[in-house]
Amino acid sequence: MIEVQHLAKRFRKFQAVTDVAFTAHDGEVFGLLGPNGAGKTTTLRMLSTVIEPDSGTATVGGYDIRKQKAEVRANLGILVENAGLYRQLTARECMRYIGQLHGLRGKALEQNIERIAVDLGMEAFIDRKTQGFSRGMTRKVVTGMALVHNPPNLIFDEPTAGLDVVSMRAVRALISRAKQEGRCVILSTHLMDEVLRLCDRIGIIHRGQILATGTPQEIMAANGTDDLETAFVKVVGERALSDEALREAETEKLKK
Amino acid sequence: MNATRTALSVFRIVSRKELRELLRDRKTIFWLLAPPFVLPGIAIIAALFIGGQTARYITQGFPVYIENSAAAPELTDLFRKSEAIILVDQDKADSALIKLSIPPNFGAELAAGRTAHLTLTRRDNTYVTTLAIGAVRAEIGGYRDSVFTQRLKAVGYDRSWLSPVVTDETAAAAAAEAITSSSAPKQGEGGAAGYGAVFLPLAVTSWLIGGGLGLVVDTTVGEQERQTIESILVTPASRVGLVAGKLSIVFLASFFVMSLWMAEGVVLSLLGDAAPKIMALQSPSLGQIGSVISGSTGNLGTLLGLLIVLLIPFIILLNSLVMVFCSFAGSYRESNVFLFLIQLVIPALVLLTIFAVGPDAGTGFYAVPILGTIIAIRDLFSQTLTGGGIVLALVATVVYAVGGLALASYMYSREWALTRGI
Repeated sequence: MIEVQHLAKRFRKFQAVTDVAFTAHDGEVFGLLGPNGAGKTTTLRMLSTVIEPDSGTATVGGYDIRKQKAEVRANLGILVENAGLYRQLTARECMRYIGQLHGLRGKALEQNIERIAVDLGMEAFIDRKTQGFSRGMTRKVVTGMALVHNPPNLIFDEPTAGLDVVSMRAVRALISRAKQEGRCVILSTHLMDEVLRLCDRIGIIHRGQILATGTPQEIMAANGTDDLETAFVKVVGERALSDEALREAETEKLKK
Repeated sequence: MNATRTALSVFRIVSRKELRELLRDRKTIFWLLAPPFVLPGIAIIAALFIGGQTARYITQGFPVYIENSAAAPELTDLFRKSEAIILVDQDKADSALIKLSIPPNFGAELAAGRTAHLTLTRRDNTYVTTLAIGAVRAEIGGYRDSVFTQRLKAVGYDRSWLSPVVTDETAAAAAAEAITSSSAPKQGEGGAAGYGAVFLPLAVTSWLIGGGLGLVVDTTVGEQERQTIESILVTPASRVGLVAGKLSIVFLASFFVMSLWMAEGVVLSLLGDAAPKIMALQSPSLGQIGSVISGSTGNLGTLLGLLIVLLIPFIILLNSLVMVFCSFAGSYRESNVFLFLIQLVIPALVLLTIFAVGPDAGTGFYAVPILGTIIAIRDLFSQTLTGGGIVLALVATVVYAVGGLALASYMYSREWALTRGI
C-alpha cells in the first residue's frame, strides 16, 4: 500500500507540489491523472525517494519515505518517464545490474529476468547490446529493470508511451497481472482509454493538488457526464489546461 | 530481501559493470590507447624527417649565393672556408636558401670607418632556411668582430679592454658528466634522473588527455545525459559504493594509460642518456651497447617505484575532484566548461609549481594539497627528496585522496546534484 500525506515540494520560487494526499491499496491500480506540469512526476519522484519533500510524507509498504529510504527503495519498482539504458550492455545485463543493486543474486535473479523477458516479449533482443534500440524496445527493458526485484509496490509513469500496439497490450497485461497478484500499482498516464481499462480508482492532480479522487465512474457521475475525458476537463478547468504549457516550461527551467 | 546493500558489495557490482562497459566501448578504448602509441610515433617520424633533412644540409653545407662578391673579398673568403655553408654560383642562385647582397660601396664604407650595410634575402620561411640564416649570421658576425678588432687596434685599444670582467659558468655537472662518462653513473647521477622532470608533466598530461578525465565525466554526467541515473537512485545501493565503484575503473584506466606513457618515457630517457655514449664508441658491439644502456638505468627502478606510489593516491585525488566538479553539471555541454578550465589550470599549475617553488621550500610544503605532491615528484627526480619528505608527501596525498573520495561521495548523495538534468 502507498499512502501519501500532504506532500509538498518547491523548486526555488516555484511550488511544484502544494498538497498531495491519496492512498493506493494493495491489489489496486490507482491512476494519477493531470495535465502536463501538474506535479505528477515530482510526486512520483518523492515517493521513490529520489527527491526529498519539503513537507508532508508518505509510506510505501509501510515504510516512511523520509526515514526509511532504503526499505522504501527495496519495496518499490518505478518506471520513470524517458529513462535510458547502458548502451554497451545487453538488455539482460541492464536488468541484472539493477537486480544486483537490489541485492538479488544467482538463480532467483536469472529466473526473474527470464520471466520478465517472456512477459514483455523481449526474447528476441534480450542478449543484444541496447545501443540502437528503438524507443519501444528501450521502454520494455526499462520496465524490466523496474520489475526485476519483484517489488510489492509499483509506479508506472507513462508506461505505454512510444510503444506499438502489441507492446502496449503486453505492458497493460503486465499491470493487470500485478494487480491480480495483490500488488499496489500507481499509474500515471494521459490516455483516458488506458485509465478506464486498468484503473480501479483515480486521482486528478492539478497545480500540485489533488482535486478529485474516486473510481472513474464516480468522477464521471460527479461531473454529469459518461465520458472520462469530459469529466477530467471539467475538474481541472478548460482555461487551466491552456496555461499548462507555460507552467511546464517554467517548471523545467526552475528544476535546471 | 536485504534492504540495505553494503558499500563493498555495491562497489563490486558497479566496478564490474563499469569495466564491462569500458572494455566494450571501442571508441573510448581507442582514445585511451591511441595517444600513447600514436603521438610518440608521430614525434619520432617528425624528428627523423627533420633530423635527416638537417643532417643533409649540415653535411653538405647550406647553399648561399653572394651577389657582388667582388665588393667584399675577405667576407666571401670566410664564407668559402665555412663548413656550414656552400657558396653557389650565379647560375644556381635559385637553389640557394639565402642570398647575401653586397653593395658596391661596401669596402669604401668600411675603409672610411662607417657602417656598411648587407642585405639577406630568404628563399622561404622553412625551418631549414631559418637554420641557414643562422649559419650566415654567424659568419657575418665573425667578420664583424674581426673588422671591429682591427678598428680598435688602429686607435690603440685591445679588444679585451672592452671586457674588463668575464664570467665563466659551469654546471654542478653530475648529469652532464654522466652523459660524457663511459663509466656507469653513480647513485644520484645521470640515468633517467637527468630526465626526471619529463615524467610529471607526462603523467599529468596523459591523465588529462587520455586517462581519467573523460572517463570521470562519462561515468557521472554520462549517467544523467543517458538518463540512467534515476534507475540506480531508486535502488537501495549505497551511494559510497556507487561512487567508489565508478572511480575504481576510472582510476584503473588512468593508471594503465599513464603506465604506457611512463614506459615510453623510460625508453626515451634511456635512449637519450645512452645515445651520446654509444656514439662516442668506435664500432660498438651489441654487448657494448647493452652495457651502456644498462649502465644508464642508474637507480631508475627505485625512482619509478616511488613515483608510482606517489601517483596512485594523486590520481585518485584528481579523479575525485573532477567528479566533484561534474556534480555541478547536468549535461556534457555543461561539463565541458569545467573540463576546459581543468585542462587549462592543471598543466599551468604543474609547470608553475615546478619552476616557481624553490628547492628550499621546506619539508612542510609536501603536505600542501596537490602542489605538495607535484613538488615531491620533482624533488624525487632531482634527488633532493629525503626519507621524511617521501613519508610526509605520501601520507598527505593518501589523506587528500580519501578526502576527495569522501567529498565526491557526499556530492553524489545530494539531491540537487543527483537530480540535475533529470
